[in-house]
Amino acid sequence: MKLAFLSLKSATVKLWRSVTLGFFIFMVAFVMLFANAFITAAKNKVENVILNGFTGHIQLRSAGSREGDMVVQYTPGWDLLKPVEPGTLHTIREILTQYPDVHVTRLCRRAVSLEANGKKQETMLIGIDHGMDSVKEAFLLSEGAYPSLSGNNEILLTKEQASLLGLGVGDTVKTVTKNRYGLKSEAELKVVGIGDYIMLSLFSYQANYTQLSTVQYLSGYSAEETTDILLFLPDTQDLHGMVKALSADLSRNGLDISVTAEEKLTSEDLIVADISFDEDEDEQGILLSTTEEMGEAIKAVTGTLFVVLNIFLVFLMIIVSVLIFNLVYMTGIERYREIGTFRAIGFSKPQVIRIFMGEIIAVSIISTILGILAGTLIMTLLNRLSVSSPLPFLNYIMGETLYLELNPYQMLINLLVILGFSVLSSFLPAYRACAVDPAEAIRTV
Amino acid sequence: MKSVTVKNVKKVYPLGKTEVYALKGINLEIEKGEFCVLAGPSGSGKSTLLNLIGCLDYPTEGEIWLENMETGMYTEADLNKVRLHHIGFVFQSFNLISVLNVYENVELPLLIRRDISSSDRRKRVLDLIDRVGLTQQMKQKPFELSGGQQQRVAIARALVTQPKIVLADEPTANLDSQTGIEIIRLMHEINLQESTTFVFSSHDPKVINQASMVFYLEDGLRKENAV
Repeated sequence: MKLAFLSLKSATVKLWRSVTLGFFIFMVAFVMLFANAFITAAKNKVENVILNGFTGHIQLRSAGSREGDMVVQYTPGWDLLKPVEPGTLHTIREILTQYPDVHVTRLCRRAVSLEANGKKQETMLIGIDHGMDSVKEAFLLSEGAYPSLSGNNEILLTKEQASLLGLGVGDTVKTVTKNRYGLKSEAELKVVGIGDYIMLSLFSYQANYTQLSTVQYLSGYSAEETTDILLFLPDTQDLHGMVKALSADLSRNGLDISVTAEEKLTSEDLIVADISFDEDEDEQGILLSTTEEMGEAIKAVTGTLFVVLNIFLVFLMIIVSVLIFNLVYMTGIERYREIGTFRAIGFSKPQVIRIFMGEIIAVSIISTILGILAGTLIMTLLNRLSVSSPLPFLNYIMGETLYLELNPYQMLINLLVILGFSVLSSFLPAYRACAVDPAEAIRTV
Repeated sequence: MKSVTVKNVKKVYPLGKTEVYALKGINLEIEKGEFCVLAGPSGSGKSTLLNLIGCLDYPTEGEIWLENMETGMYTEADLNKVRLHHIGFVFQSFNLISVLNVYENVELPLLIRRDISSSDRRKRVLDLIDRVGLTQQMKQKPFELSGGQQQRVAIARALVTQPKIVLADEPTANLDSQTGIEIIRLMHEINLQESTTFVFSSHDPKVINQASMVFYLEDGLRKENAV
């Protein structure tokens, strides 16, 4: 404590030096917090898009569907989607009555080709159940409207698709596919809205929403048949408990359950061009997946962005560390005689090192806290003001308004990381400075 | 009782490929409560001998005893403790810590002493500042003081640990002659009151004359009959 007082005193005497160092550390703390909040928000956003737009918390599919990660770029694997049979669906509905808090909705997906003006675009057509308002959180409309709940044969296009196919709101697009019997099936769909998937558009993600009945028609399914049943839980904390309970219930009711977390499909399973497809194959059972497993390909990309950001921040910290190293080294040279005096009056080497390092640590703590406070203040203001994203492409990442997530743990981690670097980079020069011969040092004028 | 005993001490410094003999075999004994001076011209070995007595350096050869402790037997950590508890230093250039005020400079050695309560520490610091006549300047920084006042602060700092011996290396060299004499008189006064052994170095005859015992050094050797 007494030595800390000495450190603080010393830090104030060469104010320009402390301020220079403090400014760099302030900037690092600020950038770290801001960038982490941005990436965390983007990561959460993409996970929410996947959750709300495609997977729900738990997804039930036919075990015959040879598909792993459903939120990947178009693959022929989608041709192999099988519907959940009406009898199975009925059983599932019966079981889910025990879970009144769980919101249930259905998706019906089909690999299709969109054709207009002599151009084609392969995509996954997703028929949405009436209750699936959450799609609105995944798809950002630029013009037009979302498909109406009571209508059919309406489609949302991404801007890229609309541009490629030369279509606008109100135009029609021909949709061609092969139905469950292997026969060509087609429909004219009206473009009711154009926009982009939040985040996913960055990955050239090809999927289009329409009404459930439209995809059922194109696939040759009955009104009861659907490829996916999505469950939304009120409390995500108990996701794994719910998976266990549901698996047990489904098994008790005679359904074979495969949980993808336990038996994941390999990438080879997804390359299905040479696998013969037989819709009539009698493959019973339900494939149960959680949102954690879905969209892994895209989550991996956001995860990579997170890593790249952190590598950038580490480089930034290395630069600051070099600065700290030089400052402490120069301080040691300038205060050669002062060190000698400390040693002469009885201070040990570790005590003098603590005084030197204490200066750096004091500046680091104050600057980091100021950086975190400034970052928090600016982010809170931006969030309160619901500012539009300053750059158009940010709309695809963050939504129409910026929302940066403040994470107290992240703040603590930032503080600890910066302190760690400060301690590491100041120790060696402080140690060298204190290794002076006191008899020699006090002679220096 | 002997406060300091120096037995055949030699100190050699390497200088490139050659060696410089700073002390060539010094013997002396200083009684407890003595007020003595190491006199001699520049380069005679006064500062080297003071540093060796003050445990800031090790002799190349020979022994230095502080009362009944032979300093060569101690580790670096032990020598830190010896300097903190038994020795006070006064330097030619005062060597005050520029960021600290008078009170804090005097208090400095006590900050790392665990055997003194904060109230005792305060009492002792205030008492010494009063004795060196700087109560009015207690909150001032070293650069706001004259040379004589700075050296008074240094004396108070050297005495605050109640050392057995105070070593002062050319304490008047950076002061005018009148102030130098005042500083030596102050040291002598404390020496008489506290029975603290004072050993200081000087080449100024006016200062040397104030000492009760004089050891003359020249070229690293003691000159018994020098005047």
